[in-house]
Amino acid sequence: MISTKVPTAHAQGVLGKKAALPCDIQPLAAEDHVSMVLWFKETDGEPLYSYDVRGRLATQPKLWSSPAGFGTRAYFRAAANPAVLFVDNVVSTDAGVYRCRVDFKNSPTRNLKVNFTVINEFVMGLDFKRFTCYEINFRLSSLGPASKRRLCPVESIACTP
Amino acid sequence: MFGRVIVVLLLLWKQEEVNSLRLVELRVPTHEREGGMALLGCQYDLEGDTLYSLKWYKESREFYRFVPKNEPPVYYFPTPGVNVDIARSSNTVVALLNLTQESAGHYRCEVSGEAPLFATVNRQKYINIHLLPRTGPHVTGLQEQYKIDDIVVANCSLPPSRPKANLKWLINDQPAAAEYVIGPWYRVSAERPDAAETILQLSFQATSAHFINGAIKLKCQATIAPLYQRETESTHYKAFPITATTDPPDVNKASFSKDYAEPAENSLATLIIPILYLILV
Repeated sequence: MISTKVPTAHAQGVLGKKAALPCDIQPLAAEDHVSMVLWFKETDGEPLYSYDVRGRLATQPKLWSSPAGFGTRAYFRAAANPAVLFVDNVVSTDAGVYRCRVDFKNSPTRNLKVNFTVINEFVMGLDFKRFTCYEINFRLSSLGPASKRRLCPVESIACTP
Repeated sequence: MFGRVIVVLLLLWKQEEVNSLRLVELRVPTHEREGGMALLGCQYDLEGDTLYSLKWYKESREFYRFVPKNEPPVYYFPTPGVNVDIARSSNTVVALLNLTQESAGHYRCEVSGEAPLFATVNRQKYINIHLLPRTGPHVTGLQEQYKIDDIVVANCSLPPSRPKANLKWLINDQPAAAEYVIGPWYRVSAERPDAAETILQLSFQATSAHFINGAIKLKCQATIAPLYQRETESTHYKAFPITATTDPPDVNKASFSKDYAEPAENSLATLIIPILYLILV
């Protein structure tokens, strides 16, 4: 439903570890400020996480993490640059496309997408050559150098050693 | 036991269904004309929730927002091709004025409920903007009358439009045979390079079958679906070859004088007027 023109960032998590989903909440105008940040998985429905600073100091936000989403595993750090949603103890079902909606007081809403992938650290430590991964690696290289290294181990599960 | 569990589950499910904010209808026109206006409606049911925000986006850019807790609740962000009539816009409708080619695009309505859930729904639709011709189709080259075996040639042209118009020739209200039609041609407009004039030629040899009650009815129809359809129609009476006999020219005169009459009326006239003429003489 979201227009394809929404900028998309890529983030990666390792099973069982802590991951960071970036979202730039810096207003473009100096006199403007954020009033709300909502995190959605896919496009809409109930947000997984909300950061509400309407009528509050940025240091005293009202934070809410949906029990149906990350629950106690997520924490939003607005002061980071860019701001990040930290997710503890990543599970494979955390993978997906997230949308971060930033409501500003005086300027248009910013919608950013984060394509979050989850990898298995165990596979990462293996010798790639044993998994005849080179052709897969080669094919993936067209996606850019970043995907070359990190996607191969996940793909390699399907490869015959 | 199982039945009871299912009933309870259904009730819980139903309960949840009832309590969540939903977008009832996004009423956005699929097509509008350049220079015109559009009303975009976003109908939602809060289902007991409180409205936090209503946002309208064109593509990914927010151009209008309604946030009841803000002072003022309405905020408008100038966007190319999106001229909001604030006075006619509200928490469910936005009115757009002076639509231009730039106005075409996806329009999305996003509604969010209040804390703690901030339930959010959104939907989008595409608006096409058509440039409609200034006037209807213009027909040139036709004669007032035609004889059997005459070549009927006519050009139908429609002032610039975007997208290109569909022109159609009809003979006696029936689509003209493909071999009678030449074109269409498109001429890009000098002042509007995005628009083109459409031309379609009709050319055929008149036979007696083309004359119904002594006349051929020709019609050029222009369509730009779904916004525009206009036509130009003309009626051409049968001329007879000039001969030595005295009666037929009178019949001709009578039928031509009835240029704008309906064919049925006309056929009656062709019968009655000569008789009257004879009686008077």
